[in-house]
Amino acid sequence: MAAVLETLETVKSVDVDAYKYGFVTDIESDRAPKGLNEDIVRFISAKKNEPSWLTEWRLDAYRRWLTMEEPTWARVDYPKIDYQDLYYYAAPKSMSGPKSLDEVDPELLRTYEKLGIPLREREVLAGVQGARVAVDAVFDSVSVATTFREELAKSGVIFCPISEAVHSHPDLVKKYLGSVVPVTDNYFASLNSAVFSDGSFVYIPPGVRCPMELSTYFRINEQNTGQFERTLIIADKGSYVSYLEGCTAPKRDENQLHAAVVELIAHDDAEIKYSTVQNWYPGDSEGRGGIYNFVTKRGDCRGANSKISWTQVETGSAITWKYPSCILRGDNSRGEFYSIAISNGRQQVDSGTKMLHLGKNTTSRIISKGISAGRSSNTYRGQVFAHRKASGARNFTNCDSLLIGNACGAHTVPYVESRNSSAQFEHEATTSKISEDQLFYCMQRGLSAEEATALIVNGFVRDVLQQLPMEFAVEAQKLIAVSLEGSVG
Amino acid sequence: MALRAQPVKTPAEEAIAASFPAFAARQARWGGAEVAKAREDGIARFRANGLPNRRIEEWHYTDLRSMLREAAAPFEAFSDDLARKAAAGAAPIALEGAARLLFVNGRYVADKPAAGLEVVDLTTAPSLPPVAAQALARDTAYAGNGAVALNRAFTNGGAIVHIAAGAPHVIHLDFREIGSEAFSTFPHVIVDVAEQAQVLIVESHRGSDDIAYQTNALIELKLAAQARVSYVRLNEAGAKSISLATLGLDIADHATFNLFSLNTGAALSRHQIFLHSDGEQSSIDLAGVTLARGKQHADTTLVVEHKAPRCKSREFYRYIVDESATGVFQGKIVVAPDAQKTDGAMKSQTILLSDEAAMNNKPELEIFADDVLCGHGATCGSLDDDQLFYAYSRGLPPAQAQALLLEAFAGEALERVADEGLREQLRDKVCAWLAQRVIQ
Amino acid sequence: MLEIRNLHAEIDGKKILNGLTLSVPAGEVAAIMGPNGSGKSTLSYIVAGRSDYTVTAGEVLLNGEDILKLPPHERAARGLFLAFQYPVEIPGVTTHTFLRTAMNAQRKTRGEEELKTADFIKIMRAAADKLSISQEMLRRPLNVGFSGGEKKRLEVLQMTLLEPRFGILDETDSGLDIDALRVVSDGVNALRSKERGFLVITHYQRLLDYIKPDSVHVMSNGRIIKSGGPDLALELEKHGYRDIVANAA
Repeated sequence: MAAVLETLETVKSVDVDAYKYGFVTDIESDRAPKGLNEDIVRFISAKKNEPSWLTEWRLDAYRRWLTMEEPTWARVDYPKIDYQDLYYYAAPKSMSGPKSLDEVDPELLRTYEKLGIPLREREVLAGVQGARVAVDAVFDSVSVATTFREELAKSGVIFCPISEAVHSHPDLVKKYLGSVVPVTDNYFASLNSAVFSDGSFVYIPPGVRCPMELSTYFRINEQNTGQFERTLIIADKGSYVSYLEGCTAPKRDENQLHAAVVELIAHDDAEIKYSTVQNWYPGDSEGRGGIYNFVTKRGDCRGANSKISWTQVETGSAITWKYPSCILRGDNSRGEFYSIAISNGRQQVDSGTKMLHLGKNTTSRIISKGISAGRSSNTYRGQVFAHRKASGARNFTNCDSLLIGNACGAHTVPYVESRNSSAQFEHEATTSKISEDQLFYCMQRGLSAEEATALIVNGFVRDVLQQLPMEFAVEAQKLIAVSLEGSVG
Repeated sequence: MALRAQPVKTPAEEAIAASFPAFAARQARWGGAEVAKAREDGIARFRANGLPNRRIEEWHYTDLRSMLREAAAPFEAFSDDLARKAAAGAAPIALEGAARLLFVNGRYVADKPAAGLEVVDLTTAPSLPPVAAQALARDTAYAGNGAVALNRAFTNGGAIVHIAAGAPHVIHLDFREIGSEAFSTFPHVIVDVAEQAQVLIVESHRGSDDIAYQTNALIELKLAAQARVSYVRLNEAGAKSISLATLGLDIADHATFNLFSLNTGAALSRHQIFLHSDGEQSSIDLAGVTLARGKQHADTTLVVEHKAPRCKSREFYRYIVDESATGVFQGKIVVAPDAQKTDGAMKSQTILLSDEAAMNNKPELEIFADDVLCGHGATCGSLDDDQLFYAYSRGLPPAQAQALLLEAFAGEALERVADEGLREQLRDKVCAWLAQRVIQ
Repeated sequence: MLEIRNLHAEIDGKKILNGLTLSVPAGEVAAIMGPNGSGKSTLSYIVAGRSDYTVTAGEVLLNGEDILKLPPHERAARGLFLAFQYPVEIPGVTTHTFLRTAMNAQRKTRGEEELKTADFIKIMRAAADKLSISQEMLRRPLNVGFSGGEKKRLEVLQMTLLEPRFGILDETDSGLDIDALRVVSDGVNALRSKERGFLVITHYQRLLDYIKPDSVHVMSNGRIIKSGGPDLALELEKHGYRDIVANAA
């Protein structure tokens, strides 16, 4: 018992302020006036020099958003957001147009260096950072740098800020934008559609296996600023891409809103692997500050035999409201969702997935591992649905929750809906704590209580960690340790 | 943010609200202040929320607002003749030595009382005895539930039963609906089970297949320490009826509660169980079989709340859904911060027999204590091909092989019924249902 | 008795049987041996009528009648019995109930009268005793939680009670220790008669020490590549499959 007590004591004493990315970059920025109205929407559109169809598209989204209500079904609790008290656009002043890396403000480069994100290709090539990963760095509302673009272009891969793609590949953007997450999908998606600032655009041509991992690194820096990025990834027939996403923000006392939309489209025989390590500032141990992470992510397995796989490690944010989903439209398509969600301090997580089986012989797999500590609340919410025509659909769902300490909550809310007799759904869930026996066994072999806990937690999340690209997995493992600081060390 | 208008009330909702004042005035001669207060409380909640609808999470799969097109008037025209006619109908189940409490169109009719059993008819007393008044005034967590609020507003009959310790009792709560035109009933039954008392309770619902009657029963059961209750529920309500029923349970320490429910009746049925386990080391076992075909909609919704340490609960539900029917299972296990060492396991399994059939399954865990072992499992699919082939290869024709496997599937839940005589009667009902199956 | 002629079959577009021909006369025991993946178990499934496989050519005659068009239960009623390599678990159905249901279903399909319960119990008990199957086991759900040996004994019990005209034993020796193997073999040998034929599918020669075959056939790549007498099995045991398969290719 002593071991558990000790663990509990340390968890209680945890200050979530162990957050290591909480610094602020001192850089002058260009902001839109505070508040939201049609002029602000036009302002953002004008800043990006957008064609009129996109301005209209944004205005349409804004008008619809006005008629919608903020969702309340999730198990999260926060004071009402004053949408007029936010800035909807902020950009480093030096960034008035697309630039080469050499022209990027050195202060920004230092910021990404501090965050461990390689923006200088030669450093990456020299092996300073290990793996070769192309990065799109988004700072507040704009993309500040995108690496390896030329090398990617050789194989026909388009990887650029979406604000740029609007101009360089208007047909692709027009065809796919909003085709997976419609303008009116939900409150936050509509808001994003009206005011989205930047994000990444990826197009993989038919038959191409993207030669390196692509990634986007999101950083919120400005005060009182919302971040509304928009990511659009299209994998054409028979192509493959693995995409990584990372996020951090400074420590601030106020809550900041992050309402992103991610749309993935996989055509026949294509595969998209999307990995996220979400480490937005979680607020302090008393629940002050932190990011509201209200995100809509959805993949459309549009073609036969296509595959979309979501992997997420969620450790940050004061509130997470996020359900990366798959529409399994193509026959024999496959969706996967692997998730580790860790909550500590006063964090609130309501996250999960939707697997919508529409095509024949579609398969999906959901593995969710939730760990609650401190005074946090951690909910898995997931829907599995088989349409009347989804003959031969298969789903396997496993969600396990682990509680550390007696002041937190772990909840599981699955919706399993079948309309087809040949669809086979299997769902299992457990909630438990780290057993005394396991702890004792490890400690008898010489591990401290904290080491033992870390070992057991890592074992608990292993199935999901294995889904991450190698270099990301190592990072994620460290992050898990930090998130449970005190109990894990 | 633009303001949104309150949703427009449906004609049924308006009719219900409009009928209340006159109904309450006519019924004011019985039940005293407690019943009057419950009515006011119920109708206030109804006026605020309307009929339960899909915007309310716990009614997401059973949208009463759209399913209940016409509200039938609460039944008031009781007569001895009606009671005699109802009592003469065939018994839904044979029960040796049972005290039968007959409820005709919601009204309690003393039928076969037994020694050691105190029954108070809600409708005879101008004011209730203190015990009954207390029972009625109990504050419950489910008072806000839409069906419960309606029952409390329109209670049209009921009884308060006290079961003393001593020899084991067998009680049959026999609900029957008869008549020639549609009506609605709102019986309220409160059963207090004394310390160490033992009882088998059978609750059955039967009614005319010809009329679209609506029932909304509220049964509240309080188990004192070390009480042991076996409960069997049989829904054979009329084919056109809407059958709502709520079972509220309050379980003290070291008490044991086992429930089995067989659902085959009604066009629309919803059985809600709200269980609070307030004492340590209680043991709870809930099980059921739902068989649905045609256009039936059959919903079972459970909330099992563990508030005290070292309790154990098992939930085991099986559905067979055929033709264009829809099954709904919602089960929530809640473990409060103090309910350490809770051992909870819930399982719901469904076989869909047709591509028109649908199943909605929502097993939930809500855990606030860290030293627990809780889990749930849900499966949904068709009959197992390997099992079918094995049975065929031993010479069973398709219809027989399927019936055998389906009977076995339901049978595993039936095993939870301890009383053998009762179990075999329930099994016969399952087999009879399977025998009527049309195989394409 | 059992005649398989030029049988071709596939599953999900993948060819499994490629012109298999085999004849087992009444009163004889034929053994099929072959490396893993040669299609041995598939053959047993196709003869018994599993619907996932598509027969693209050939015929299977039982006592002169082509049974390929028949659903599996009618094949069973005509006297075909398959002892499964992996007997299926059926929760909720007691072994006892299953046996009685199967016996009566076959009798009914053949237009015979159902067995009286008392008669059935008498027959079942006698047969179970011989196979060291306890009454307790018969009350448990079919195959659920049974050991490998118990499952195989139960297959033989079913065969004994159903009195088939032709039995196919699919890897009946797998998962058996020596004692269980003897009990199972004795059960099978007791059923051998002039009117009854058997097809024994096995990977190892060991089983054939207990159930002596009249002919031995080597299967590879979905067809019979070599046939011979009991000696062929011993030869295989010594030299393995590789040479024979290589010579045939």
